[in-house]
Amino acid sequence: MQVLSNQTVAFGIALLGLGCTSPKTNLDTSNGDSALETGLDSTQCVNTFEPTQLPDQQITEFGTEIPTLESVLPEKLSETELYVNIVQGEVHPAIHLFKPQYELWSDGEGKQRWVYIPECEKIDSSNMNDWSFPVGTRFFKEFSVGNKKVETRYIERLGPGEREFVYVSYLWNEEQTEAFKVSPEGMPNVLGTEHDIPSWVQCVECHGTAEQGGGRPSRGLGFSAIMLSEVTEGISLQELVEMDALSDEPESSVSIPGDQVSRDALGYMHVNCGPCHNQSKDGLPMYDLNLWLDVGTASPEESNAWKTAVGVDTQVFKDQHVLGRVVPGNPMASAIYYRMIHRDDAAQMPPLATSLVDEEGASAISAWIESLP
Amino acid sequence: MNLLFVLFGCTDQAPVDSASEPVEEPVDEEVPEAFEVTGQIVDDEGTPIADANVMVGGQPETLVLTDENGNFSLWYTNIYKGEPAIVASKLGYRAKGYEFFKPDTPISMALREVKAPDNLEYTFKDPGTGFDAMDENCSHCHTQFVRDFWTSKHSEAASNPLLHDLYNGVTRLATTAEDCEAFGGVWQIGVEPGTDSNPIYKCHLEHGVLSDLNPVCAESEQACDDPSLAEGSEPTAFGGCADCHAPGIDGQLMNRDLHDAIGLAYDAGVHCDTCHKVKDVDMTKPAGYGSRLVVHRPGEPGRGVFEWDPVYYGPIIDVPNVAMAASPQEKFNQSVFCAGCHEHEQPALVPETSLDDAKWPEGLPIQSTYSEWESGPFNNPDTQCQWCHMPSYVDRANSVDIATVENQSITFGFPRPVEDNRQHIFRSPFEGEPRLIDTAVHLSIQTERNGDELSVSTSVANVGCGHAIPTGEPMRAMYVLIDVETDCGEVSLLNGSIIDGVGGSLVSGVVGETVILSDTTIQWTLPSDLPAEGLILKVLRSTEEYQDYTGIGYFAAADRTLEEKGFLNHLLVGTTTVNITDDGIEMIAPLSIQEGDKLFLVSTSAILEDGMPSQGLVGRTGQSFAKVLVDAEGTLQVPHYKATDILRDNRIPPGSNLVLPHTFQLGEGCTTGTVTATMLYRPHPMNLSQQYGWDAQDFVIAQTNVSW
Repeated sequence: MQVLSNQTVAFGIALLGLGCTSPKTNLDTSNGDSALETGLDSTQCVNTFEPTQLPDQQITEFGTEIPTLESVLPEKLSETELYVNIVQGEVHPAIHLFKPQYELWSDGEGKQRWVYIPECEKIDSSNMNDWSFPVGTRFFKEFSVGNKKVETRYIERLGPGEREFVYVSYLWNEEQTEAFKVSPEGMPNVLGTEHDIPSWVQCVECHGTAEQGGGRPSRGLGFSAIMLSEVTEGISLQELVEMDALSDEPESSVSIPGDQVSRDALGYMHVNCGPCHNQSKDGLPMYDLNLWLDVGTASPEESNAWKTAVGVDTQVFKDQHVLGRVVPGNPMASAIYYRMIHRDDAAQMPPLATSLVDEEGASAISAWIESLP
Repeated sequence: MNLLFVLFGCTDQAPVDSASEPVEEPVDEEVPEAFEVTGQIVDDEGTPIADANVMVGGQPETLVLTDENGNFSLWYTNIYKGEPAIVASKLGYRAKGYEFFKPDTPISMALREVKAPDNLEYTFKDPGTGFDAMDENCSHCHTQFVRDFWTSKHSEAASNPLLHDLYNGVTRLATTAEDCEAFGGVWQIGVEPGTDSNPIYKCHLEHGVLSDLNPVCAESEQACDDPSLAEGSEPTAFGGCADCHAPGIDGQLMNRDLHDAIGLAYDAGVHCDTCHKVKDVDMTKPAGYGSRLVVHRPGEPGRGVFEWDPVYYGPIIDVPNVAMAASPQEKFNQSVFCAGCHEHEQPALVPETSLDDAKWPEGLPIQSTYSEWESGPFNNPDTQCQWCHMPSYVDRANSVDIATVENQSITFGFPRPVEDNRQHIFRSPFEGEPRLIDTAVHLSIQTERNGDELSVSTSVANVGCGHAIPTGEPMRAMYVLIDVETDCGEVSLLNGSIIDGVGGSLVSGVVGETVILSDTTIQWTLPSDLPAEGLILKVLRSTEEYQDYTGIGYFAAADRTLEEKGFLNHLLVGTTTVNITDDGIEMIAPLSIQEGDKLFLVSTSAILEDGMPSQGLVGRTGQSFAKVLVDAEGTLQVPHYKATDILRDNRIPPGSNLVLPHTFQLGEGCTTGTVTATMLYRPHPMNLSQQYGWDAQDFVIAQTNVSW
């Protein structure tokens, strides 16, 4: 069809116009010029890393070979863009360390996180509660048990569609010199530890859409306005603003409201519970419980958690101990706390990726519930 | 490979009706970024179709409905991917697509109607293997979906051997004439399931669907499934089994003999072409394929390899591939679709039996899974049955394996949101990690010690299942067992429920009715295959009091009396080991038994393991949860077709729990102990398993304990 031919040409032009079709370029930043700084002029902007490309399907003697998203990623972590020198742990300068002010509980394992945001693009922050990352954004998350690195997870946005994310895990070797892509089934108890590498399906259960078991594609990464508003290390919300990496700046300062007890509870629930329990289109569909803390929440009483949990009966979870979602002054009668301290049964929350109770987190929630009038 | 099929089935766009839609050659011209598309949708006789869906394929935000003249107008914005097409569809018509659209040139599409009546001449199509994409069937494009299907219980619906055992009244315990005679059966010729008339010998029992429902053949010298039955002796009542288990029997639908399921109808059960020939779900009609599930097989002559012009009903409104010729029916994405079979009321089927019309005015609710979901907290547009049982694929463009965002087109289809790309695994309780059933139940225990008594309350909650647990299939049962271990030896139960006869046993009897008490011996006609050792006698006595519970359906009514709820309390009179005698048993420790007591012989183990052989749980501290079907003689846990009443239905509704109180007498010197609650799931009752020779298993689906 001729129309299509025109479209194909136009498609290429469009991509060129977005500045995203340049070959992979490892910028020399040794002089202190960051990739972000070099990308301010859109007409000259060059992203340090291109989005990974999905190859065309091929017709083979066995039929049509369909490349999967995961299959296109390198077999070794050193072949991804994360490290300049994997043995020495030297991370590429275009990739930013970040650490959310409250962390997702991972059974006490050590974690490090990095993000690459294409320099020529912006995070769509028009909804400050639900950022949408540009195509080509990469997240890396390294898990360690004791001093031993066990796994590095990789998420990349390959396209604008809700499915166009790729999730892959790399398993470190005993020598700590390389990590290798793990099969889609995942792997339990790696390197003699209790650490389980999730299956690709499980990845999507947390990081995918509601239909995939989880929530918004941008969520569950700890890379949100709230989580970056006050950080002790790594890139902060303010730095993102200064780097002009956000399409929209926050209208006012972003913070978690309330005293320290409330802040610790609301922040903890935001990152540990809110990714599924939210009222966005990608939140769990059947519950009205909302533990996502919206930017601009002025007081704990105005928070979603307060409005949908405090003094509210449970919808589905019933138990003789439980009298409501949050029963002021009574943590053990509060489903949120009660389920936090359960493991290996249908009461467990979060339902996957943890087999140990987060004692510190549970204490924070308990203290908040006890403080409620 | 049939080249014609490929060309016609998967690489061609919808044929254009030449009279109104001349095939246009591509024209080298500039096309605007966005423009209005107008046109008219008519039927194959040129009559305008009102309320037809028209949209840019894959872009639901562009959807419009035609007006009363069939006219439409929508706004097209180029996305620069694939072959864009304007797609028109309406239920009852075959969808069509149009690729060569351009500004200022109205388009017209004629949708071929799927005309009534349902075509009895139609032959259901083979889904294929799910591996060979060169198959000329569903596998050709939907390879993964077909592979999904073959892993599902739906594919086994017609060939399930348990179904045929019940239908024919055949036990698999006896494989020779001698064994059969010893078992009390009759070694007779019957038809081999899945074959037209292949005769094989089987051990026929007294009861079966065919023999119980058809006295004329039951009284003959031959088995009711004998393919050479004399004319006039053939069964004419089939219990409705095939109406849901074997929808793929060609020709007339409903009231078919399960033995009519041969070939594909037997091998593939509830397969692709059967489901996707469902035009509608009419809840005013009885359950069944061709009744509540309104079936419409096409009768318009086809072209090429198609004997009949294809039509496939499905949830997607923009599927214009001519091999699919989809007709959109949104109910495919709704729980009500499953109600076609998973909600079923039936009359008394066995001749000369009847229901209590006042109690069951709509019939006996044999299957109630849909209404359990409907009245529960999961009744939500986003949590229909399909949400759990057909989970979404996470990385597919659509149902066609080789479809991508880039090749979207009439041929390959258009990208779908994830909720429209559902696995066709029809996920069953034991599938997934964790198993679906392991996410359903939450147990918790509270204890309180008062002197030498220990009070235990056990909460049993359905926290993860959209319907009641166990499910609406009445053969399923669950059991909570409460075990107490102490540092002072055994405890005795002072108050609280024990598991009644639904817990199962090797054999049961009632003193004064089926067994006669004589001092320490009991005259009891026992089956010959009982183990010689390790038998335990449990004696239960009714307290004449009834338990309350939340209940399902009839049993959930607020004004229902406890007696109407039918859950009779029992106490455990005692337990003793026994010796088998020539005419019964001898109690090693004599028990104080009286007339009317219920006796159970069990062979039990204290070890509870997932997948262990079912053991007699009767008399153990705890509770059974089941819909207990009763036949006209009052026998409990009978197969569906024999049921004339439901004694009780104390299964746990979604989003609810109950608390079981128990009090135990502690021995002297007790300082500490542990209470353990275990939930077991049993797919089918022990009595039926013993009768038919089925593997009887119990599964541990939840367990918790507390120390005191």
